[in-house]
Amino acid sequence: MLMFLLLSPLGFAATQGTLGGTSTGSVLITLNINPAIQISNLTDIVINYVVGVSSGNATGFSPACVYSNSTTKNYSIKATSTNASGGNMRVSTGGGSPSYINYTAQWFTNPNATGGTPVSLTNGTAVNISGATANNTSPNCSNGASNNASVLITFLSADLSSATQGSYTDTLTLLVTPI
Amino acid sequence: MLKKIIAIVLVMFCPLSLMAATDGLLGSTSTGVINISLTINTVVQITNVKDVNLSYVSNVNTGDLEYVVDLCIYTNSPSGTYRIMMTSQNASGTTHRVIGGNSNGSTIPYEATWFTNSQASGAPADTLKSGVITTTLTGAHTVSNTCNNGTNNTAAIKFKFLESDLMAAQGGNYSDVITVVVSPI
Repeated sequence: MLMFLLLSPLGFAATQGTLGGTSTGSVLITLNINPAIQISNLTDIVINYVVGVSSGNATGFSPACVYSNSTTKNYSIKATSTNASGGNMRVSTGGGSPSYINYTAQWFTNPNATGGTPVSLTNGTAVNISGATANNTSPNCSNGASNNASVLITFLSADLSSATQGSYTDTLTLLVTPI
Repeated sequence: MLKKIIAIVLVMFCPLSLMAATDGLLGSTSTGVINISLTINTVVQITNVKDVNLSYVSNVNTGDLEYVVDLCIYTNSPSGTYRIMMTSQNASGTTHRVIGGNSNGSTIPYEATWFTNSQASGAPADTLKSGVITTTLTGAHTVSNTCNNGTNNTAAIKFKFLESDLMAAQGGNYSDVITVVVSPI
């Protein structure tokens, strides 16, 4: 019996009733809910930069919903650019002799990519987002009505004005992990 | 099965612009995908344009009167190609002309040719007719929209007044305004 108790995680085990006028047995019920997280409600980012008309940096953003069943509601996020060079995220024209333009990405804990203190994302590096901002009631943030995050990408005007014309694309992958 | 095959084919041949962001699944981690598309339009610019002032003294000057103006043509197209249309304010048909300041409206025709290098060396790339778009021209600067402040101009126009026309012209001041429109290709 002593050996059995040591191996039981909570120190309990089902007990059998004894023979008598009544008999009582007990059953230990254990339910484990694994940590779960989900990122959703992302949208593609399309920017048309008209040289000579557009001015300043070019920006675009996608809202996001981050759900986590963690009681802390904290998570980490890692962004990975398909066309990255080292820590720099880039769009590319593709083809045999592609041209590239760098961009930066920032993570906001609001859906409009404004205000607050955004976190800069470096390609391939996970950063912790603290402050209990994940939704832990609706995996899709009530169908987007209560999105709680966004990613803002920025192209510098200096890079845009010196770039050759064309269509540039990239795929940005966002990995969220509960912490 | 057929639907699956169709879906795979669509994914393989669907351009990025038509792809949609992908939400992550609920799990121990979750991965979402955003497609980023940036389009930069094609632009051109002509700079380093200068006015032309010429004088011709009959019996002193001989031969045709020529003058070269260096220009900078810039485009952000990697091909460096463009087209030109030059228009003379006093043209007759496609012939460029200067017009006299006197009241009789006398004119002198002149020719213009386009070179895809500065200083108009070698053979011209095209002859400029008033209001006529040239063939495809090459060699525009693709980095500096001022051709490094004119130190690396990429084109030139050579103006030519024929001696016979000059000798037959009345004395006086003649002028014209030409407009050069550059279009990207």
